[in-house]
Amino acid sequence: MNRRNFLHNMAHLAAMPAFIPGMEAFAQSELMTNTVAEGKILVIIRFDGGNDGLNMVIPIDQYASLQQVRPAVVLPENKILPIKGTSTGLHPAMAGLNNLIDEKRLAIIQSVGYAKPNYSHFRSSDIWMSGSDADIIVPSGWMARYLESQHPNYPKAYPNANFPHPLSIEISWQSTLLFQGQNTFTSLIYNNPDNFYKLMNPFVNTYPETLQGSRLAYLQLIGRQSQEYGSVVQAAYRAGTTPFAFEDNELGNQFKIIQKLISGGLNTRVYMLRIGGFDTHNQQVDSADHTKGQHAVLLKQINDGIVTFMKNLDAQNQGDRVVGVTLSEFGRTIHSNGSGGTDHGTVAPMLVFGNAVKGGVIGSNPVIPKNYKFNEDLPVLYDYRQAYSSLLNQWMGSPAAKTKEILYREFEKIQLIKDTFADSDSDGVPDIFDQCANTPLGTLVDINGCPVFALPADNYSIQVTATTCPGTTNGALQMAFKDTKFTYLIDIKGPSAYTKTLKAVAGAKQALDNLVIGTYQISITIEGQKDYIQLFDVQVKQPDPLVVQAILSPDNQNLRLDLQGADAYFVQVNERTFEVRDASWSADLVKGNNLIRVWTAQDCQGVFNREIFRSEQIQCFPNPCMGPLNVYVAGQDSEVEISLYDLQGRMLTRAKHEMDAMRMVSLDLSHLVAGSYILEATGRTVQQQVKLMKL
Amino acid sequence: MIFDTQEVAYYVCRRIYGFFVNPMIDAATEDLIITPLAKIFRDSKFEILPVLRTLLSSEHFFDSMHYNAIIKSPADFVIGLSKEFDMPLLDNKFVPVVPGDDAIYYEFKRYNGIHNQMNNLGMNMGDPPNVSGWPAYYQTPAFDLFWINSETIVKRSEYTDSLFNWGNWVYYNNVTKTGMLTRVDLAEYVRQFETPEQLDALVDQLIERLIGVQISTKTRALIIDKVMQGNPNSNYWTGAWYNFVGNPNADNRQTIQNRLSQAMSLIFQLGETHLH
Repeated sequence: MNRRNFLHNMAHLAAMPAFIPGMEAFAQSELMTNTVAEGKILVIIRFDGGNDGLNMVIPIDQYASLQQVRPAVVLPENKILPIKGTSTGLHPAMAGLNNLIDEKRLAIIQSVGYAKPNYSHFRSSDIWMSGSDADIIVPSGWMARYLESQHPNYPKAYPNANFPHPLSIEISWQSTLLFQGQNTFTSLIYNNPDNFYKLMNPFVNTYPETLQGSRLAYLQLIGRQSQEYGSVVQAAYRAGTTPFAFEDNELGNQFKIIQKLISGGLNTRVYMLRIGGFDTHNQQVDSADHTKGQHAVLLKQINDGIVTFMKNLDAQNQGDRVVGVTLSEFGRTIHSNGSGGTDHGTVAPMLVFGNAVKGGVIGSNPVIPKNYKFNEDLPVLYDYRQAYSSLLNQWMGSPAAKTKEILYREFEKIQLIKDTFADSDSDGVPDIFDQCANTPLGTLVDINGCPVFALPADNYSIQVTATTCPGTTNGALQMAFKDTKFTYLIDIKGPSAYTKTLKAVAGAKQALDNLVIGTYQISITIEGQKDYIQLFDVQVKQPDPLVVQAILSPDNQNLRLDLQGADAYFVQVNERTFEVRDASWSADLVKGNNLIRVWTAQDCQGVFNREIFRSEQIQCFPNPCMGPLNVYVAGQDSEVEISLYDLQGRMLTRAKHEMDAMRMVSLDLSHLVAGSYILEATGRTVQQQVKLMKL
Repeated sequence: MIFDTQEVAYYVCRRIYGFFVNPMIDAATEDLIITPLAKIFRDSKFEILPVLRTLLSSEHFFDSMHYNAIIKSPADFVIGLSKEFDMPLLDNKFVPVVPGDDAIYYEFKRYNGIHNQMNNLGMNMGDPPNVSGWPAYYQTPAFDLFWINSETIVKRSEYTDSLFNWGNWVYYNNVTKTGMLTRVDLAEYVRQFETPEQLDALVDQLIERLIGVQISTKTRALIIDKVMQGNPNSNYWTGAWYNFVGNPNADNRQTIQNRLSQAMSLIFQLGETHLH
């Protein structure tokens, strides 16, 4: 990051209000995450299949020998693009990269490889990804080892407030050894970040340490990550833009994704892209025109991709944060084969690009042996781990001792990054400006690279402890402070010119009550800490409406009320009133009419009213009947009205009956024609209908 | 020539053991399992069958420790689903480009769809990433973990969700806007179970059949909750089931689908359904 960028970013550190929704109030320190946001980015571009370095970066001084040993693929001399001030040239498809070298923004490291070369794609890929010697199998990736050394608790405690974004992203289908760490893969895989899919599994199980358990724990971890990171990555992708369009091809589309993620504000520090098709055993070039053919198409993709990427980054003022590096499992043979191609070889050049890169051609041209013997290899000029350790150290801010641990050995450094960009402690302030060396990772620094006073994200807990109705002042707030070393000065501004100042000596809990509805701005400063301020917006809301669900038991004897909306309720059943503090309450109903009323301490939550009639039972016998009918009415009513209807609802008779000790009413239905009738009995505690059959 | 070396038998036996039991082979397994298997392999003049027979009938193979301990490959996952569920084609307006036997063409497209789905989940059967095959079968120490990443885990769920809910396009022609949609008919599926009208019993059978191992009571409750949708009355399921059995018309069938689809989606989002 350059100084201008850094100052620009400092501007919004000064007063970052943390918005607190509703009742859950925990301060989010935007400050801490911003150190992460300003982290530098490394883009690794992998050429799958083994890239023919001699046709990408051409030792022009060896042209005559090249013509002799690789006649089937050698480029016409007059088409090779000479790199200014060198005897090295570039493939004609890479004019854009040649300009970047002129602008000192692209470096070529010549003849990169390793001792005891392996010619198997897989083993050699593994060697490049794991960062090991050729004869040692290391089951983890060097990038994963770096990321795990910086983030020892990954993935358990991730994402978190300080590191809300994935540590690294592969634009791919499957992870690679590069990102495989001790615990898990340290990368997330995306091939379309726009496509965020929500899962319903809450991912909260714990599993035993068995084979099954380890698989289940892994599935749960990835599921959780896909959800927690997925929405963040999608949001960045959607917010991101590409002022200059990328070509629609394999690499262009991947560049487009990471361009959108970076410009959309994703803080991820490492990206990996892949482009396949470099295993050019046959038809590497068009036999009629060696500047064309499959290799040329791939190199053009690389040229166009890198150039457009850098143009976009510059247009968005992000160019100083990003460095890219290319690698392939090996180079190809010096000689061309009988099918117009080249076979598995050893060394090849690496490209390193970015505004921070010290451009130019690093290392001398490879020398083609005068009396070339078949299958002779080019000597290794730079070990591939020299490039890694230089990038780790100069760009990713990994100290020399750590780098040695990650790569198992110390490697001679290559200067890849311009001095002005070197930032040994990775605090975002280049060494030439940095007055405080070795700031721990994640520390908030000022423009001099020195730690500034900051408190962790969870130092403040502000909670709305009571809501209030419009026009009343029942609202209340509570503030708690984790760090009790300080005296906090609190200034509160609220609706209708409400102001209040509080002083929390030794972080003592503070409470505010008698608050009206509205937004309260709370600013907290600390005695003796100049320039430190934290702002919070807190909403005192009106309470949720009272929700009551009344559920009658099947026998009508008991009523259950499910209550929602308050901590305490008043429930009135007929003449009695109860104060209820549970979410569920039940009562037996009396025979006859029951009046139910529920309300709370706050008027605006509303009142629930319900009338429930619980009837005494009646029995009619005999039923069916020929004429005489007895009606038994349970309960205590002294008078009951009995009505008789036909099935069309016409009333046939209605009479009041005094109840005797037997509670039995005798009727005579002989005059009715045969058929079905409804008998209804009503009284103070009776309301029943019975279907009768007259024979 | 290479058969003269001891290593061939060891290598093949390790691959077989890794595929069927556990890809992580420690020193004890190497001594107690791989070495004797390799001997059987050599003694039987490099016949695979005796090795498989010994391994697959061994107590070690049936040890519960190895049950459900490998993550299903996309092939296991997708083909497993298509074997478990009937997947009728719903939108069959698609007209084959090549005239001829339409039924064969539909069948071809259906299997092609299964193949595409596996590809979508990271396993393009017939086209491995390189001559070593898929990293899940050789890359230590992650092995089968390779199948699952932040991309493929949601794609697996998207696939199963589509099968139970809105349907999965086996084939879709962007130009003609027609294709072949498939959806699992859950009413027909649960009809095969005993007492499907009793939700608790049905869920237990689904768990046994589709998950195969014990799950927490909390997760079981969550599955039931996805059917009941907060409704306290058990008739919400039982009534819907009797309605469907009494009158299996499209509406009643859809009601059963709606009641079950969320629960089925959840079951296939559980880690357990990705193991075998």
